[in-house]
Amino acid sequence: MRTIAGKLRLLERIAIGGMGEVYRGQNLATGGDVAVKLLEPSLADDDSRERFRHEARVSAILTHPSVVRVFDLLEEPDGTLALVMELLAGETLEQRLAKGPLSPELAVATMHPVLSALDHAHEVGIIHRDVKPANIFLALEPSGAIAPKLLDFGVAKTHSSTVKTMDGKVLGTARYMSPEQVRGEALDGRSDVWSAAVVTYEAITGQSPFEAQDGPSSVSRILESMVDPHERIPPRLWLVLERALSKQSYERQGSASALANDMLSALGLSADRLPRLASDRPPVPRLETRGALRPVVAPAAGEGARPSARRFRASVVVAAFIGGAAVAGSIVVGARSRAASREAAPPAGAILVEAVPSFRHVEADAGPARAAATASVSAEPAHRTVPRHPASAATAPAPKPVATTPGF
Amino acid sequence: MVDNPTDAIARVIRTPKGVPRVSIVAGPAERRVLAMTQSLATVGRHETNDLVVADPQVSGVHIELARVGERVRVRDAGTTNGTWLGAHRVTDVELGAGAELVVGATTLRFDFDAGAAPASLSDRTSFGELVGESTPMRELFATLERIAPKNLSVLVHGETGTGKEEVARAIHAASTRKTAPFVVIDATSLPETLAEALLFGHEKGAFTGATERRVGFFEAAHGGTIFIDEIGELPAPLQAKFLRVLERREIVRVGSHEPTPVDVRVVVATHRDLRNEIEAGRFRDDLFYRLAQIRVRLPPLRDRPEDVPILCTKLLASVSERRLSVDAAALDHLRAQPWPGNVRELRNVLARAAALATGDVIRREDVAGEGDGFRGTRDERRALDLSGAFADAKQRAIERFESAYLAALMKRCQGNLSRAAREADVARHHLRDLLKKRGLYGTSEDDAPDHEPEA
Repeated sequence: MRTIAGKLRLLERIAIGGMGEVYRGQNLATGGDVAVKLLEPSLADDDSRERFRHEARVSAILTHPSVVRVFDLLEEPDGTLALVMELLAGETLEQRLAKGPLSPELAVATMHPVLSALDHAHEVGIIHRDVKPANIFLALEPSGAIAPKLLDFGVAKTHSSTVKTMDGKVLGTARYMSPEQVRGEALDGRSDVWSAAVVTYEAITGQSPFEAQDGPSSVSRILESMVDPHERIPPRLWLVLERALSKQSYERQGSASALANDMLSALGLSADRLPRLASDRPPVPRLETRGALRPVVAPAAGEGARPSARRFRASVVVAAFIGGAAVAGSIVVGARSRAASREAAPPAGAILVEAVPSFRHVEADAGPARAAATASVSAEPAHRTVPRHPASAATAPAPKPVATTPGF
Repeated sequence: MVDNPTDAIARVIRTPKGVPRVSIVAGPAERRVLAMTQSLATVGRHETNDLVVADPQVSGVHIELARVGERVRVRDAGTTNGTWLGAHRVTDVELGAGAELVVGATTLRFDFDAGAAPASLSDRTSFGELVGESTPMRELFATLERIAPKNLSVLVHGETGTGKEEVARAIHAASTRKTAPFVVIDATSLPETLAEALLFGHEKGAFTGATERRVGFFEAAHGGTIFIDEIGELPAPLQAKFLRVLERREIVRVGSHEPTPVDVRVVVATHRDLRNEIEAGRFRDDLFYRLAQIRVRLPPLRDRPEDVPILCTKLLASVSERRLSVDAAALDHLRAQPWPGNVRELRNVLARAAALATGDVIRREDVAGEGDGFRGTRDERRALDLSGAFADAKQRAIERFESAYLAALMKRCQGNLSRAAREADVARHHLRDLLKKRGLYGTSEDDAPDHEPEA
């Protein structure tokens, strides 16, 4: 089994891409699990090496719960570069959308943390430039809830960036690119606002607003075609997306947070009461890798408080389904141990399931009453309550962690 | 990751021609900016305006903009607070870069964005029965081409006679629903007491006189398209019921409790901007959003005089068997008219001219005194032609009287043939014959409940 820089053992390959591979790795000193993205020297030209380093540097600047953490960048004597990242279980939004579109509420709830991460990046002068479903990771939390995270700052642009975009080479994925990006002009945060709107449109409708039926003409469509509303997009939300998809950046919302707020108010949602994506898969006991490797950048003050808040929330969900009227405090203690959370695993009790399979609403601080209240938030008419999950999740195999595949 | 070859980009990057731009530069509203990539736009407080001005002193739709080269024609939409250029209140003005306009407490600045490209136009010069070569019409055709196959509701806004029903028919014909029914309803002709039963049907014995079970318009249109003209006239209780039908996609017949699913695409038309009706409390905002997934604007004929020749060619072919043409002087005259009755009025004028023309060319004198509406103002001011034989002079006078009378009658009755027949106290079929004779029996002149094929 391969070991990197004497401190990371690669356990299994979890993703493979055109430029390299992603492994589940273990820190030999602490035993903590991480994701390790490798750039083999045989595949690495100076450009991709620089991009690799660039991604590590950019990620280090960003401290946001919805940005995947990069812990370290290691270099082997043979020139292999290894990017050590937070190990996430779950799937990308792209993989999720392959199973079917989301309700407008869920799409907006999914994009909200992503837009928050973008806003944070924009504030420190970083433009992502490649916002697309494949770069939004729906990380499975211990509670079974989903935390969307923005991946791949590999083509992100900073003020001091040295990543080349000249030679007529435009980085980014064509169908999510803004008109100014297609033209190769100077970009600001409003280019990401455009891309986020394209992703939102696609998440709700299952189709890209610019994908031609008859071939790869999406680039010219981005520059020229009007985008039309779609039956699945509520009219007020459409007005928000239509504005974000204005050809001229000055016609769009001025910031990612403005787009997020406009989308919420169009649906009558509020940021602290968002429907949440949840997976029907049993929660993975081994998820919290924080602390296994210290992040390069110390977490901001607010950041430190988050994991415990999340853990507490997870406990409440669990409490609601185990005991009903159980004393929350005692369950919280129990749920913190891996075994307890495994036993309590599928928080399926009275949770409302969306018409779209495999995801259900769990509200931020979901108790049974709250979960029931979520029904009124959703626009999807077909809800059904699932019966209590019959099988114990302890016997079910833990889902294989799918790692982030940024840059490959 | 990089899945766009450079040549694909090079292929589409072209030199933009630039468009006028309007920016909110002062006032309480969010600082939005509009690039006039479309040739027509609206500015106002309602969220669906092209430039939304969130200023409480600004009307739902406050001003209408039309791109004229590098300048913008600005029209006040009949607001109480008005539109101000410095100390001058303006209702219709053409502004160039640098101009500043005040609406409510908000200042709008006009300039030019050389980097923005005008929206691409359709290559076609007709869509269904609609014809035009002008920019706004070809923009409209591009929109209709895109949206016709989709299942979106469409709101058509345009003055009388601009062809709102033709838009609806063209959308239907270009959709996957083309073989299914196309049902036309004129909201002004719906008697309030019977409207619900007519729209949604009724069971036998639902009310006095309901001796049969009757299928409503919505059910009749199942699988197809329903076109509701003058949707702004729909009474408030019906607006609520209509909204429910659109939301649930099912109707409940009068006298029944069982909902029946209906699958209809809805196209509605209005001659007034409904957003100002919403502001006045006469139209439901939620219904507007449901009905106006797509909003299209039919420009009045006076704003697209360049379309007069192509319209003449098309309309003459439909009003006359003969192969007629219009000479240059007549065309110049027709282009210069205000056309309050728009394309329908032009059609009627050509029908009369075709009947008058001696050769196969329509000349200036054949269309003299026409094109200024059904009011016949210029006509009435013109003295009677007393030359020639008594019988001929009398005939001319009668023709003029009939045309003026019938035009006024039909305008008063909003094109409702049954109502016009009652008011004039003539048999309906006789009135129709008279209208046909005078070229006034146009498209969609008929009343809705027993809609007849086009004349």
